[in-house]
Amino acid sequence: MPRVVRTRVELEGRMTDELALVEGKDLPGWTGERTIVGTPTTRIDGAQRVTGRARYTQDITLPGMLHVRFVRSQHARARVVRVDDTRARELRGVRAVLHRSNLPKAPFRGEETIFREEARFVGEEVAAVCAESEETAAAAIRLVDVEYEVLPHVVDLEDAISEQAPRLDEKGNVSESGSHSRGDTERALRDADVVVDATYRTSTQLHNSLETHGAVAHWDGERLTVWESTQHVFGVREGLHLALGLPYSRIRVICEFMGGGFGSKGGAGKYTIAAALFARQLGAPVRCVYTREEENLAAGNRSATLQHIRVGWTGGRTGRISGLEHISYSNSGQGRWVADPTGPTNTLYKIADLSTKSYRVVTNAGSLSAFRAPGYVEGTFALESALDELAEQVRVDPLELRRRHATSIDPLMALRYTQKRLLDCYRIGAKEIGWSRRKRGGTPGSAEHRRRGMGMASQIWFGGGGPPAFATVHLNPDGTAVIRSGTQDIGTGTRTILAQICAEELGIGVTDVRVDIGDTDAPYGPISAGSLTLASVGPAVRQAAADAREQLLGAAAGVLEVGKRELRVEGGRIVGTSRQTTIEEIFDQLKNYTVIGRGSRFPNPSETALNTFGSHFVQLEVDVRTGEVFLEKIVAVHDIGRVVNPLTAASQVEGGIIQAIGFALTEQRVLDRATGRVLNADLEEYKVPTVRDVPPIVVRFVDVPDRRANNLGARGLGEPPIIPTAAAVANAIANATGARVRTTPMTPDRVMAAFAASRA
Amino acid sequence: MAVHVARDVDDATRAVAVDERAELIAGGTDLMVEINFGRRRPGALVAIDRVQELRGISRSGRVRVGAGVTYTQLLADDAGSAALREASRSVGSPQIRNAGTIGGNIATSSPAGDALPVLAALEATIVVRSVRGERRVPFAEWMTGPKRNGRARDEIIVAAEWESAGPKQTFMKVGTRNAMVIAVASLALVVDASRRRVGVALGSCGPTILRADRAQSFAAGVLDELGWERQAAPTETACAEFGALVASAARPIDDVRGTAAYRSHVLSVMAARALARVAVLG
Amino acid sequence: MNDVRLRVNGVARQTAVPDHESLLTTLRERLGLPGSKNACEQGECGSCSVLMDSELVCSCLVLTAGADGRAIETVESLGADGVLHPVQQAFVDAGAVQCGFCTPGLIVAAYALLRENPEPSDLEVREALSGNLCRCTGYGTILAAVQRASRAMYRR
Repeated sequence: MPRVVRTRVELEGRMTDELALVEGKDLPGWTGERTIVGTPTTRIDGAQRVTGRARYTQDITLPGMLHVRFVRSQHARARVVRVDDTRARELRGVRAVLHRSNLPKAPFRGEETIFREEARFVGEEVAAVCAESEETAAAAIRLVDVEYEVLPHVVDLEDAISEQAPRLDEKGNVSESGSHSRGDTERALRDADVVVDATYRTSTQLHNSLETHGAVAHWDGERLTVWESTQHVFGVREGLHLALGLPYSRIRVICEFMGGGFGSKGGAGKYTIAAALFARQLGAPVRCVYTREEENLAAGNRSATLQHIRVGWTGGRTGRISGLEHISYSNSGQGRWVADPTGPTNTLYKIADLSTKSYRVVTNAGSLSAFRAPGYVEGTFALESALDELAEQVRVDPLELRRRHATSIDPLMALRYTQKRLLDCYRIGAKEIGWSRRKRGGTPGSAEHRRRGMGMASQIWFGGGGPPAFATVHLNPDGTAVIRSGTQDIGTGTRTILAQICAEELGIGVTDVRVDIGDTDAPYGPISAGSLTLASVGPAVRQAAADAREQLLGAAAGVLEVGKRELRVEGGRIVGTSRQTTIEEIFDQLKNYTVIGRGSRFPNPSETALNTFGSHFVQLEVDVRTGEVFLEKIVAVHDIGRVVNPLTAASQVEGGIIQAIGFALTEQRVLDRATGRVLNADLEEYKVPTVRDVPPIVVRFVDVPDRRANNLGARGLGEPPIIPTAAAVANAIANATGARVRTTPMTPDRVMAAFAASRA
Repeated sequence: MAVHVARDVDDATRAVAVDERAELIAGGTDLMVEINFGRRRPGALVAIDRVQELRGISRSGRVRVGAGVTYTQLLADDAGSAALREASRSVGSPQIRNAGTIGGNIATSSPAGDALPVLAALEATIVVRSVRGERRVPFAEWMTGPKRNGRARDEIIVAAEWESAGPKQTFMKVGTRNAMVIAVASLALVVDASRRRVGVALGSCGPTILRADRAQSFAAGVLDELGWERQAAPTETACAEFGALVASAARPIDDVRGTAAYRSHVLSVMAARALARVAVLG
Repeated sequence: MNDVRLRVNGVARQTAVPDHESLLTTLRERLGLPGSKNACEQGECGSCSVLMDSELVCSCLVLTAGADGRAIETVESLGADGVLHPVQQAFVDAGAVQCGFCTPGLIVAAYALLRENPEPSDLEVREALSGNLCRCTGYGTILAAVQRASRAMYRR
């Protein structure tokens, strides 16, 4: 019988108390060697993806389908006085225009409609045009006449903090969003022998998933079906339910394949709501897919930050950190939350006297949305840079400094970790990069004007997952199985690892498992974000598979007239003490007997902290005359408990690292302060790393099952690999050249400026 | 007909002459972006990408490269300019090099156009043709501003020509990543030993491609001493001074790709390296 | 509208297109071939890579009306008969696919490379794929896949 249990649930560092529905008893962890889980396994949907057969949202074409384009504000801040759509509606092929004055009520993210009276960034949606072709819709938006009352704006983080800035919020542009304090930081810093006092800045990073945001909506008179490129089909359903007032039962959301999200595709967007509204109003299917420019104006970003760190040291080369203060400001745009950069500072090390504060700053720039380890990437850059600056000053090896402050207890909640193998990560990484060859002050590079250096940084993130997550496993009469769950594969390989887990538990082959996910008609699955999919959905799938196996064995015992305990499933066969039978033979006897195993995710153990850990080591060269940085090697070591699929896991790590390389060296949204316009909202001027920018990457795991975490012993891996790289790069640049770059991306001009500062 | 696929140059010149709205499209790597982004809606288009007479390279003393020659072709068929090869290699990606043409680079006249500093340093001549006849424009007079040039609407760029300048030449570029990068600053250096001439041209450092006259004279002086035909390295001091003179010719601005200060600085470094490199080529 | 005849994946196709339409749009929206992906429309990401008269191009930068009479090969022409092309198989086996959105363009670019250069060096592979952006994999597995495909195609 299902029962309700109380549990704490974490999403990207935010803890909430929730009720979880579970059934039966959780399975104990696997013991002994596994044959399928832990084995490199190629993607079960690989063939669809390499042939172009995989259908993404932008590929959905329905008969009579219409197309939507948005009219977007050209002003950073302006009141929409009047929208005149006359000329647009007169264009042949235009079917409808929606704007503030004719829009049905559609509550969206705390506002009454999707078109606000005041547009608050360049690119904010002001109206939407629905037409028979994309080309017509694109032409029609130019014919919508909008009268604006332009208001004073501010887009830059540091401008917005200043007293002279226009006030965008009654309470001011700056508001505290989080703080933590332990011990007496002021006293510790006052008593310290050495204090590093430094300011770090990180730039706005744009997700640039290869597939832009988009949705296709179809209203059949009864029910709304929406295909969306999303990390959370149930989240999109929730958004549509709230906006359109439709009951859940009349909304179905599907995401079979999606081209990356990295945090930005967490729920319904304005494009979803607009497509659905038009579909209902016009009785035709409607597609709304962002252009690259729209993506980079309105689909969210990683906040720019300004971070001040003071960190003290007492006791010479055998000393310890004496006080750490970290104050951070984030440019949230119009976002209502902050991706807190002080999280890693609060938890990564054993520091007795520590004080952190995080502030949200509102501006007239496009809002933040979660971007792979939101806050932690920015915060780790500052924290781990500052610790290296300290290590340099007190002449302690940076790795030794970190080892000396290791903690086996979460310092924030004072709870023991389920498992923490960070020291193992250090050991493996140091060996792999050859840390013993690192020299203080760097070494000569491959040319006379080049210097070589090494740097490292640590990583902490969540990734323990938790309830609610459900799955069923259906057994077909031919002995194959189907997993059904409302999770989705955002590119990480969810389908494949779930198939592995099911096959392992059920005793059949991976290729005999089909995975039907990405559909709200299936049992609930959580958002694929926060590194929680595997650790949330995986245990539920395992349970469902075990349930299916027990039912199958029960049936087999009856058919074969033997005791159930004498039977097991192995290699797709029912194996008994005296004979083997195929699953097919059992079903032949039972005709249309259907086995449906059910599984749910049980709560995490109470009174423990559940995190992922890792460290990155970087070797690079710097051209000391041009400031160019040449990455030579990156070593990434992660502790995520059991590794279910070493092939997809390694790929996840490498992928995280290239995004981190972009963050570290090339990627930044550039805004024109005077107009608030984004000057590089395309892939020509916004530089994501290419295949020629990536050095050899060595990936290692501390592959030890975390038996306390969940029935798989596995934790998540989505976020961890993007977190420590930038700091490791900065630390390696400093090691090579003596110059400290405190701003990302560390472009050649900033590296040159750091040289100048270090000489001064 | 709104889109006309031209058979030959005469066909193309007639097509642009009769329809005032007509614009030319070759590789499409610039114009199609403008069209896709809704920034331009040409009333008529004349496609010249299959005009064979624009695709030839000839080298009989004087080099003539047809405007329809792609960067891929420039890499495969030696046009007798090492600098142009280096510039071609640094253009975009294989996809872009397969489609993009040298004529397109000349027509777009972006200060960041990779082939343009080379053409400037080679003192190339741009050949344009229309129903009114043919015109030859020295590159120095070609660009009139960022993305502006002396081409009349009905004129088709048919070729670029220059005197073969020998092996001492190079193209350098600094960008913000290793591939598909637009120059933050670029530089072409041509030392024509037989004519005792030095050509230095800068890209992405001003509204047009700029020449560095004082740096050219200085380098000529250095080579007078070293010997033009010899493969001898100039002193580090000479290279540094050359670099400083090149940088002083730049008129850079701060933009999304980089700061003016960095552009000047990196130009001086690139120029010093370029001089050291070409001096020993033979 | 312009009447255009194309040979697409070996099949003669005829369609009417507006003046400004790109080949990418024509393939995806008129010819039922959505394998080529739309991700930037400016030739920067390579997701729409196809072969035009055997040359690798970004279909978003090709004016369809100007391509009248040309032969186009898209990702759909590879492994069409249910058996994966060695390049495709290598991408699966090497784990060179994550979200898969960039994959069709990469497959076409890798195929174009290996047809010309059976045994490319690591540097040549990087050069050949430098116009194809991938935001998920980190490229390492893609480089491995091309080498694997080279071995499979030329039986080394």
